[in-house]
Amino acid sequence: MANEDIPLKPAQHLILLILAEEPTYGVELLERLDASSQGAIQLNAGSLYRVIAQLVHDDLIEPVSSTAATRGIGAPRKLYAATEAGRDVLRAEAVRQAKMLEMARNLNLLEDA
Amino acid sequence: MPERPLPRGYRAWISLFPAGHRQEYGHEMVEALEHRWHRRRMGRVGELIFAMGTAADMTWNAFLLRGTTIGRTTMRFWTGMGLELRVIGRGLGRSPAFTFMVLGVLAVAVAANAAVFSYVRGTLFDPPPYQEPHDVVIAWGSNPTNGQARDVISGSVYIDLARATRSLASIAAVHGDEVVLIEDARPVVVDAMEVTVDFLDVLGVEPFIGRNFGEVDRTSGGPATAIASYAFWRDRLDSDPDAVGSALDMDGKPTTIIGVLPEEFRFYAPVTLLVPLRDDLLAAEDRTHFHYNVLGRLRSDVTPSDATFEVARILATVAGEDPRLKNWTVLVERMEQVSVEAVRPALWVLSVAVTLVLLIALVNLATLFRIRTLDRMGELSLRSALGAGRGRVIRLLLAEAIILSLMGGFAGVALAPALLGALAGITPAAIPIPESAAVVTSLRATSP
Repeated sequence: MANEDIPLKPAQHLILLILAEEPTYGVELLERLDASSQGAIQLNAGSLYRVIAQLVHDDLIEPVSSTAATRGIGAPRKLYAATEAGRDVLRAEAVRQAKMLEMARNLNLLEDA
Repeated sequence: MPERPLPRGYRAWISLFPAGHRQEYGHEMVEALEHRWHRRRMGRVGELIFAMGTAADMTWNAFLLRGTTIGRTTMRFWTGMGLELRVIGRGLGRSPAFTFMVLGVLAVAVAANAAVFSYVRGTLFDPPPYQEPHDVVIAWGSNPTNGQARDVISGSVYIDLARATRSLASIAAVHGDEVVLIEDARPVVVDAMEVTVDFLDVLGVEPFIGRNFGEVDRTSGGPATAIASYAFWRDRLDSDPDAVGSALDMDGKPTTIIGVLPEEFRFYAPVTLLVPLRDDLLAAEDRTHFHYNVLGRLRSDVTPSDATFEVARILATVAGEDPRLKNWTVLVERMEQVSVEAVRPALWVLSVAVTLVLLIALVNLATLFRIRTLDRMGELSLRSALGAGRGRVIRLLLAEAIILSLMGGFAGVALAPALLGALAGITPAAIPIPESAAVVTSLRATSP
């Protein structure tokens, strides 16, 4: 199963990593994406929730609980967390990337960098 | 200075997304938009960049999501279609009058169109099964006594032409006739075509089995021979390969069948038997005994006009010997033009007529379906009340229409060959009935 989902796209990968660390809601996810990627991955609302919808559809993440909205009105915020399948995909992706890294290391590409 | 909130207009972008997505993530998307709004660069430039970025992001992602939603909905629509079949079968069974009316109207309209278009295609568009059919020509005499521009030629003039022509590679005289066969001690009249021995060479046709006429058949001292049509061989000689060489009692004398024409052979007049015309007898005929159609095969670099010119010159020479032919002229035309010229306008009118019949049938069916749907409003309302959405109801009606259309269409195609046979049966013999039109070979010719 996990092999069908890899390689993950950068935004998917980072979101899955963040949600594997701890359940997070949308706006906080935006903040953490910005911070973790040092601004390289800056999603807007449309992209963020399309990726989230896709990951939910693929059972890689799931809404786990809700918190009250910040200003006390509107719908409560949903917290998303990586599922067990999502963690399997992260492991498979890590193994894949490790192999790639090993190949790059054998070519001395890291030293040049 | 308090920070300006996200302008309400930005929320409108959410409406681009599919309903399910809006319901699930709409509030959070607004919150994410507000978050980005507060993090934007200040000033008009910052707002402009934010507005453009949001427009691009929302439009593109809504487009991507709608694409997958439409794909999934379409898939659900068609997979659910199978479930409706049983319901539809029961529904149609409860309305036999409606069902038979629709099937009957469709079957007749489709069959009429299939038959007529097959006939038209076979007659007007399929080239005759001759070698290089474009090069086969007919040489007409123009008869000054009756004013006919295309008239038959006498046997002796044919012989004059055959001896002198250089523009025609081969030439043959043809005359439709009847012969009397004795079968089971009873006389039977069948169509026979008297042809000179080069007839099949002119058309570039080889017998299916047996041999063509040869030099031995050219003169009156030769044996009595005949070549049978495929249908004659199949129906009267029981498709017996050994029938070639057997003798028929034809016009009171034993006549040997020397060959069988190919199944696909056709000519502009019905052919059951080919019997040889003898050159010496033709040459002895009176020059004003006009009797024969003359066919020829153009040499490769010769046009019908060239051939007309040459044949006219030959005829002028003949007229010098026989003043009775003085005012005759000739015309050489490609046979493919001549053989369908007479029926072409009628066939086009027939095609338009059956197309209109089909359109009228379809309008009637549409009315019939409308009335039936109105009649079923109670049932459909009940379905809606029980939770069937608009799509489900549309799918039910659509599936019913598709099933009836397919059944009617197939019934029409099945009926078409019989109708085509009837059409061929009532058509005068002078109008060509190509064998290829007798079989509805493809749905292309039968699509309504």
